[in-house]
Order: sequence, then structure tokens, then C-alpha cells
Amino acid sequence: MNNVKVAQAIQAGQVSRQPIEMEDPTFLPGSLHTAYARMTVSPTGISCTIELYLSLDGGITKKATTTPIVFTSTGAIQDVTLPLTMPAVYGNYGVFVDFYVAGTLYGLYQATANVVIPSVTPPVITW
Amino acid sequence: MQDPEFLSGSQHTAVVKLAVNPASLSCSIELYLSVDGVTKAVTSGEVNFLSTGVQQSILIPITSPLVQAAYGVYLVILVNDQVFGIYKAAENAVIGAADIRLVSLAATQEIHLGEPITIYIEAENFGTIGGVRTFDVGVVAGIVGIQIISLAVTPQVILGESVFIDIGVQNFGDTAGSKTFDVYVN
Repeated sequence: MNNVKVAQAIQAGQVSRQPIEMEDPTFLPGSLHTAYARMTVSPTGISCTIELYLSLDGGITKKATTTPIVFTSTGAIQDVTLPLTMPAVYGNYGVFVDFYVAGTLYGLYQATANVVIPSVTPPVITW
Repeated sequence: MQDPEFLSGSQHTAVVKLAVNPASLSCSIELYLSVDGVTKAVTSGEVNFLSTGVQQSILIPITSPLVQAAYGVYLVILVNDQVFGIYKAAENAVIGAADIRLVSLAATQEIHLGEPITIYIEAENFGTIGGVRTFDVGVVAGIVGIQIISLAVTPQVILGESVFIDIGVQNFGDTAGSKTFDVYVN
């Protein structure tokens, strides 16, 4: 399901995004960071896909994304590693997670805090 | 802009103008001078500030190096303890030294009884930067009674210029005569 369809489905009330607890991080533009999604998917042996992305417009336009990461459920708590290169542009980015189980959309999530990418103008020195 | 020139070991304050967005981020700036870009000759250390989201001026006090050279001026900006950027100013900071020497002295004066006169000595700066030097004036020989009554011996000498230092003397003795003064450089 592409993002526009997801957004339309959310608008139509067919699905809703669930909140995810997260700290309020500030990251440097273009820096690489790794998010860890801790979850339990049962039963074991199911093919799952998770994608984390940052967006300024509620999840419609992805400004940075991990791309879909495939993993197999273990039936126990597992940490899925989600490396993400931060956007180069200053902004207050919403953090979104789309989760699929066996190719079917299972859940849409949005973190309770945003990722902040700061900006600094070129400094000028006078003596 | 011309490279700023500083006297070695002198205190200066750099004003860094910048805007950090968003507001209320914990930031710091370090300014340092370096000849090779690696070794810090002098550093301000980290100067902390909170971002305002608009342009702000951060005051960075620093003491200039003792060694004469042209130093690159570097800024390190940290945002939330992460290095946001390292910047190098387009101009270098040039550390120079004043070299103030006496170039002329009319030190042997005929001084009439009861008449104050002024002796002029001339100092010139042969260094690379303006500065201050103190001269002492003493009596070498002469008749009793001639005394120094006023003295301005700490001249501020601008680079490439010379100044005259006035020494007022008066004969308080019983007879007219001459006296020789010498000038010492500290």
C-alpha cells in the first residue's frame, strides 16, 4: 500500500495510527542513526516488514526512510534494527512506522515525539 | 576584510553572529587560533548558550598567542553536544609585536636659572603592530639644581609613526648651566 493510499485509508477511518513512545531527539542534518523497534510477533516464523520514516506532512511525503526492512518473527521479544539517514533540511519531523505481517498491513504508528533537525546560519565573526 | 592584527598575549573578544533553529537548543561555540588547523595555539574553550531561533551575538573572549604568526581562526559549533559544524574564517588573525625604540635625543641642555624648558626625545615603532613602551629618564651629569619636573614616558606608538616624549626640566640652582639626561628603555 503506498503512502497516499495509507493516508486516504486513515482519512476514511479504515485504519488509524497508534502512538509509539519515543524520546524527543535532536539529530544533525545528514547524520546516520539507528532506531530499535522492540516488539513481539507471534507465532514464530512469520515474514514481517517494517519501515520507519520521517515526514513533515503527516506521513504522506517521506523525507527520510529506512525503506521496508524484512525480518522473521521469533515469537518472543525482538529488536529490529532500523538505520536511518536524517534529512539534510531543518525541520520538526514526525516519526512514522508502517508494519506489515505476511504482506498484509498490520499497523500504522506515529511516535509521540518528533525528530528535530536543527539549522545554523553561517557564523560571522567581528572583533 | 583585512586580516585583524593583535598584540601578542593581548585580550580580545570575538563577537560571533549566528542563528540556530529551533529555539532553546543547548549549544556551544569554541573559537581557536591555529597555524596548521590541527594544533590549537589558543582557545576560548566552550562557550555555552541557548539558541533563540533568531540571529544572536555570542561573545567569545580569547587571549592572543605569544608567538608572532598568521593564525587561522576556527569555530566549532555544537548543538545538543553534537558537532554541528567546524568553520574557518576567511581572514587570519595576525599576531605582531611593537618594537619601539628611541631615535633621537637632545639630552644635554643649557638651562638658565629659573627658566623651565622642555627636552624632547623621539620614539619610533619599528615593529609590526602598535604598542606601548615605557622609558625612564635619569640624570647622568650636570650642575646641581636642575631637576625633572614633568615626564610623559609611556607613549602609545602607532605602527610606522613616531612620537615625541616631553621632559620638563627646571633649574632650581643658583647658577645657569647644563645637565645631561639619559633615557633608559625598560
